Amino acid sequence: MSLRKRLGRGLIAVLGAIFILHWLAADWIIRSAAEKQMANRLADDGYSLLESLGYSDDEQVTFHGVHISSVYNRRLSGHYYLVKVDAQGYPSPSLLDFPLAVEPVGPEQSMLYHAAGPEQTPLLVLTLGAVRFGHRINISVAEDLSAVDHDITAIRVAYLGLTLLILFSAIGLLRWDIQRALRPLATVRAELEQVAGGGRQHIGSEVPAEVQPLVEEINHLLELVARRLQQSRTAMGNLAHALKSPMALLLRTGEDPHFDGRPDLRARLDEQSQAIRHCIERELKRARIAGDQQAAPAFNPHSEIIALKKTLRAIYADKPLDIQITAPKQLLHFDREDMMEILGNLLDNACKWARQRIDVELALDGGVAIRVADDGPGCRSDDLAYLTQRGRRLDESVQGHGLGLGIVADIVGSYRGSLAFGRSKTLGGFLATVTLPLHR
Amino acid sequence: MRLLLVEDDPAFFEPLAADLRGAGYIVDTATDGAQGEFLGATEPYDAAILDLGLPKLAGLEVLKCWRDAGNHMPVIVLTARDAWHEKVDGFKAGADDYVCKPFHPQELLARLQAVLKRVHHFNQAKLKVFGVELDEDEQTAMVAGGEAQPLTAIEFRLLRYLMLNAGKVLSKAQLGEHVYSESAEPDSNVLEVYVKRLRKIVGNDLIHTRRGQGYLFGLKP
Repeated sequence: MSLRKRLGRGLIAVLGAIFILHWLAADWIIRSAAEKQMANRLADDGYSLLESLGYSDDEQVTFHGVHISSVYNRRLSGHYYLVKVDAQGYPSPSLLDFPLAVEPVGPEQSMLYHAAGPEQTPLLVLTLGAVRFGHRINISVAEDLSAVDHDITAIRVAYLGLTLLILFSAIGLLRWDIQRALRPLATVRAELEQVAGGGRQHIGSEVPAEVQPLVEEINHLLELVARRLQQSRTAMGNLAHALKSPMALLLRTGEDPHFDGRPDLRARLDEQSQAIRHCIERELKRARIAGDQQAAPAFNPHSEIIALKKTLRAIYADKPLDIQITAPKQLLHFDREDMMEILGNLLDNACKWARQRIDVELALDGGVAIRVADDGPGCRSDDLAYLTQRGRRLDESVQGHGLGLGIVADIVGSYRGSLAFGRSKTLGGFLATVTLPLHR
Repeated sequence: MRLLLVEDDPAFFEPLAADLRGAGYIVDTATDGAQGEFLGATEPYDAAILDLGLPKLAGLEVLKCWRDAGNHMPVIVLTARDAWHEKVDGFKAGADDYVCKPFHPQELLARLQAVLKRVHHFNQAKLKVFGVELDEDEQTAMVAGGEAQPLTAIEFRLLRYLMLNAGKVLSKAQLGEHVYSESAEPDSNVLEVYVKRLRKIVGNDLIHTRRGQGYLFGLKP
């Protein structure tokens, strides 16, 4: 799961929980406030009733309902009272004959509670306890909650709407903020992709402090890889240099006049030094392949092939070669040394065999396609099959198509590309086709 | 013939100098880059044999110094580093030939002779016909001494074939054979498009259409 999704989900869950709790609390507060207000009114009416209590001549406690609001006289008005003197109850006229169930309370106590009224209406009841004239008196005043409930429901819905609106805006804002906060990571990812494609050597360092060590570590590793390659190439170069001078002397020794009388010895010396030389060249070149290198400097096929053409024309100066080039001018992110090695070897091979004309083509269609064709004798089809046989070391297999094609095969292999040989349909000679994938 | 041999390995340059003297050359030797550069810049040598791995001043730098100073003495680069990019860089710096170590002495002598033979008349990269100058290396065309205009591969091939056969009527089939590459499928309509583009570059009155026959490169009779 992406970091953005994970953060987003966590935030939505937390925000949702907070808003549900908040809404429940607010709902309770609204309800309590409404009921408190009602209770105040009920208390007023209750005390008015209590004030109106009198003591009649026949030692009876009396009260005057007329002192309080007329709604208690209207039938089922939603406002009720029940005065209890000891066990004797005096209900309000509005109750009709409904037996209002009230809780008994002690003297100087009061109690607020819910009860069921006539026709199952919810009632809020306040019961006050008192002792007057030696009698225990309980005055219960009740009010229908339906109307208040209705009002409260409206407020609840409105408040729920408002809450949801705030919730969704908060989620939206936070998502945007997460996205904004994670933008440097997306940049780093894009840059890493470029690094993988060879587009750049290191990734940018303008990232948040938390990601900085990671970026530095990656850059460090990239540098390390590039430096290792450079070091090993330098070491290879030095080794080549160290080995080749003695090799040259060995070759020269074969020319010594002392061997004039022993052509067999000279031939053996020559043969063996050439074998060593080939082996050294082959392995040194192989060791120099950068291959599927992540950080490759750019390579300009057009100008490099032109330079290569000039080089080959100088090397094959005794041959009237016509080398035609088709190559894009855009930069490719491949290791220059490897590409030059592929092109150089293929072209060298073509120059060796061509009568006159060579076509070099480098095209970009999904990958890099390199086609080198010549108008030479080409290769017999059974030899071609032999050339392309898997696992066959090319330099050992076909005479003339020497070391070069073997190196090309090695480089192409390390780029996970493909190498094919055939006959050129336009020039009639040998055709070598290399395809390398662009995205590695 | 006087040669300059710049090489730092005594085990290497002494027998080599002997071989060269044996072949009839007068040989001066230098054992580091700075000395070699100085000798090459001050003495009139017919050719130089230059090792690339030199102390004090690298071989390629020596060569660049000579070429920057306008010294066109033929130079054969001698090196143990034989990767293609190194050869190309050597030629870019102005080398005339490149011999990889180890080599047979005969090989070097043969290459030396070849370089000496061709170096004075070695300019086959430009083709000039009817005021149009074609640079075959850079694939550019210059019309009447104007600016060099870059050509696409097919434009270049078509123009070059027309110029090489100036004054001759060339059929579409003939032109097609010399224009298409390995991956392109021949299509005669494409030729007309390219001829049109070439006319824009070299001017309308140089490439003529012969109905039913083909095209002709040349001035109007």
